[in-house]
Amino acid sequence: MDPDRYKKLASKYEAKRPVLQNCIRAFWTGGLICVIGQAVSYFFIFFFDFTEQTVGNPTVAFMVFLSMLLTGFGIYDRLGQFAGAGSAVPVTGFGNAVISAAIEHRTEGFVLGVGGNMFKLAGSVILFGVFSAFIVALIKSLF
Amino acid sequence: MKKMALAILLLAGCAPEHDGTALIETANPDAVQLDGHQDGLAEKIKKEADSTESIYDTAVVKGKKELLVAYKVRHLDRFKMKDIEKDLTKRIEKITGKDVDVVVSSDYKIFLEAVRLKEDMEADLMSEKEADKRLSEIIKLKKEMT
Amino acid sequence: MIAMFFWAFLIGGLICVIGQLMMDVGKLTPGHTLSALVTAGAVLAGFDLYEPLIDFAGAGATIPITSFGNSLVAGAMQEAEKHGIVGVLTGMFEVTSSGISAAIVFGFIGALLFKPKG
Repeated sequence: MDPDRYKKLASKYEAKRPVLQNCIRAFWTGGLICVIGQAVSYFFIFFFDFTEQTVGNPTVAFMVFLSMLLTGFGIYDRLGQFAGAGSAVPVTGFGNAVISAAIEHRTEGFVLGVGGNMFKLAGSVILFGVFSAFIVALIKSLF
Repeated sequence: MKKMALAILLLAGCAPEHDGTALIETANPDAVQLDGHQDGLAEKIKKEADSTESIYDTAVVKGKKELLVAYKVRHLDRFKMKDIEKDLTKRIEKITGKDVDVVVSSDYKIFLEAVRLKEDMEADLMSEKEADKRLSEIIKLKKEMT
Repeated sequence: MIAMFFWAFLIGGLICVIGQLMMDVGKLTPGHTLSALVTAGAVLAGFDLYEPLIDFAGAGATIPITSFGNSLVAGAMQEAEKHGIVGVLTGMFEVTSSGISAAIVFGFIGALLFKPKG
């Protein structure tokens, strides 16, 4: 197949990407994960000494824990195929990126495999998060 | 969604003697005054806080030195929660004067704890002194940032 | 409280839709999308817009990755108020630590417990 024809063919299939359907799926799965997060944080507020102000940390930690279980049993990856950004954007998606990389590379050993590859996917999120936060906070504290 | 919240609270319902309905519905607890005076200051402050348009539920506990005003904000006004807090603090400090340490909070947890304190007082589970101590603990909790 | 669940669903879902549109329409890879969202969260925090959103939508704003950028800025600003400009660097992980430390700890435990699939 010559390159021109391939491009045409490729763009034909590209255009068929069901954007609306993807968005609806992302919306309700992402929303649902947030509702679970909300329920978890009310649980922590009700039973433990956390306020709305401080409940964020334990909630996130618990969600990442859930993400570990779902990733380990291969459920989160299947969810990801269905939900797209709906499962990638919540913090559980961040957890999934770290945990699946860790599990995937364990055969290469714990130092070079797990340690070296853990942040292969999530590293850019940390990098850009930290760097942009640094710039923003620097500007903010100067003015 | 209501059912889900109820299910969570039913799970939570095992917590002894408190039913926790203060989280889902308007509790409107009476003001509590622990400083030994009968001047009705706490009630006066509760009325003042209740008169705010964005606020629909308040709990007031007046200790020896500290005054706690916990309140719930109408949901669509939660965007401007910081302004409401500032405004309310100013108005309450005008009533109490300078000797009282005024703490206002829109946090559900603080509201819940204030209601629990009032319920325990009414059930005679603790003396005024203990209640005052617990008030300080609640205020300490409120000031935690992380 | 019931209203909180509704808004958490709506706002959280909408942030995910924004991510989906960046991937589908903007043709970004997931890595680029998430990096952009984190940066957006940090910038919103710079204008003091993210905290009101958390007040309003609760977990709908704290669970999406955008909140990571926000809490990094919040931690840095908190320390900057106490220690001046040095605090920007030292306070960065003050508030956020739990997401990353949880990911590291559970990532390692996961690697111990589970075997890679296919």
